[in-house]
Amino acid sequence: MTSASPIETHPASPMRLRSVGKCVSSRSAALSLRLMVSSAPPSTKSGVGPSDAALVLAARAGEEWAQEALFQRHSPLAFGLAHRFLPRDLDVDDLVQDSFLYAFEQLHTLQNPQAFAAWLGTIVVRTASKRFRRQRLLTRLGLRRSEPIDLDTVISPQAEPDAVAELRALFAFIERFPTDERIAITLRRVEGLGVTQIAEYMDSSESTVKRRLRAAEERLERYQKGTR
Amino acid sequence: MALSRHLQPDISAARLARVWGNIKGRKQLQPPRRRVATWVLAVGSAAVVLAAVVFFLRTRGAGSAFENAALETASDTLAVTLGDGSEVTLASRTRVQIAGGNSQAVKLVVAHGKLSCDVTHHPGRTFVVRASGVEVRVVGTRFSVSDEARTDGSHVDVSVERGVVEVVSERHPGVVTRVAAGQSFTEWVPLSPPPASTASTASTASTSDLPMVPVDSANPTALDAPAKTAAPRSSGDDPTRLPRDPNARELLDAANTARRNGDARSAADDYGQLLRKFPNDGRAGLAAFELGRLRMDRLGDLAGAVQALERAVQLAPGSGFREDAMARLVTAYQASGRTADCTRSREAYLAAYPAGVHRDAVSRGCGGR
Repeated sequence: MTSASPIETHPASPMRLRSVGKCVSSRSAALSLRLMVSSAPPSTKSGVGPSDAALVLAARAGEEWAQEALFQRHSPLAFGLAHRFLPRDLDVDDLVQDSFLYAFEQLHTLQNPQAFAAWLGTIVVRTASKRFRRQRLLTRLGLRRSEPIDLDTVISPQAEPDAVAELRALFAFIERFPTDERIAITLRRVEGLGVTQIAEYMDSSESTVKRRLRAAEERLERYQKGTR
Repeated sequence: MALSRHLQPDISAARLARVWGNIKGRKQLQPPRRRVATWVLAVGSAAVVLAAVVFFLRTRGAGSAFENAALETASDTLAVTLGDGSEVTLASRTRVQIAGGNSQAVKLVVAHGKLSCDVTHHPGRTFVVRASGVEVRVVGTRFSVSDEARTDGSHVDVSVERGVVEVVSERHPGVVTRVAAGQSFTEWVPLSPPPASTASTASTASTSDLPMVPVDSANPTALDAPAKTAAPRSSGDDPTRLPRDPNARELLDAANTARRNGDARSAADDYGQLLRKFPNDGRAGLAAFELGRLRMDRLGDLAGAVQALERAVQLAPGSGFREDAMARLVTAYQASGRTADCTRSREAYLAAYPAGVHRDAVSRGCGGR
């Protein structure tokens, strides 16, 4: 990622801890945090429950309730991303499970505990990438048959016709895309993310993402022309 | 509107329970890990946050018992919301000393690293951040202060995202520089100790009484300052650093190495030499861009930066850094007071990169909104 921005920004999310009572303790970080979150007013942006940072610290300390709370809070994000990448139920469940397991294993490497959601997003993207690469390899070796995605079962019945047409056009060919292009164009076209966010999710530079998007768009256009 | 809203998964409670059950089951199959370092880090981070919050909640209007307490991060970052709603964020490997704090005056000292602040405006309250003798006085704004230690000194950088701050350096007594949104202030502090000054112990309570000295845009004192205080060239005098008659690649490599080692002068010399000797080489555009960045950020040479950045844009029309070079040109023109050029370069950037990554910052440049 380029470091040449004329204005350097630092967008780490704030950690709100308004009241701590008398919970400063050297006995146990997890115990302190539990006391803190139970005696403190709501401390998340939505105003409900402990902050992600508090949950991450407790989860790192091995508290299962904190891991489950993180799962409950962030599973919609993980399911959403996974569903857009792999619109088949069983694949989605596997991808979400693998992503959370990896996240809990690697929780000690998360530098900004409040940024758990964004970090989880990158893990889902990375796990999906690995899965796509494996699928492509198996398909090339003749060990896996590429099955078309039944979009009727996954697109909302309330979707406007032009949105349905765009999704059909994309998913008709997307399995044939190189993995990085597939991820990039899905995040762009389906998730509606900007280049900066895609770069963060893919752990790539913005110029690399722009290049992948350009290549993916050109590829999609070629495939669509080929079917006309 | 994103298409994702038409591709929403069915997340029933039963499905969530099933997936969580699978995760739990698979976790139990994995051997437990003992992470002493993580445990210590967690305890440390929690204690630091708690100390900071206790400090700001308990010391309103009174002398602080936590005076000289410190916030410090290792590899993680730390964001703290102060009692007044202001938010400060420590980047990794940052140490910030609480030099004073109550409801009327907050003073933080960046010992090293980078501190970002989003300060809520409170009439009569002062908010001051110091780094290596550079003092930033805040009214209500979003900005960051970094103090990066290098082999031959410290590099203090103040970047303002929103609002205005006043910057005072103990090496330039009496000079108050206003830094506005989109602008940055840079000072290179050599290793030799600065002249004795009382500024380091000065009270922060009177900052609102200080005269507001607008920056002379044609001759911005503070932006000239780094050149006056620039550290002497260190490795650049090393005769073995480059072969006798270096080619373009060797010059670029040497310049990049010097830049990474914090030797801005040697790096600038090498980039300049590459541009003079090999103006048609494919590396010339990148050399011009890096030279522009160095002159702008490290050497306080705005006019030179403009020259180099213009050349970078001209030499590398299809490069990946052209967008950054064009955005920097806007900032450099603005800081130089070249309003017409600033406007022209801003329009050129916005036309070339209507969805560019610097679009918001560039749009705000040259007095634009």
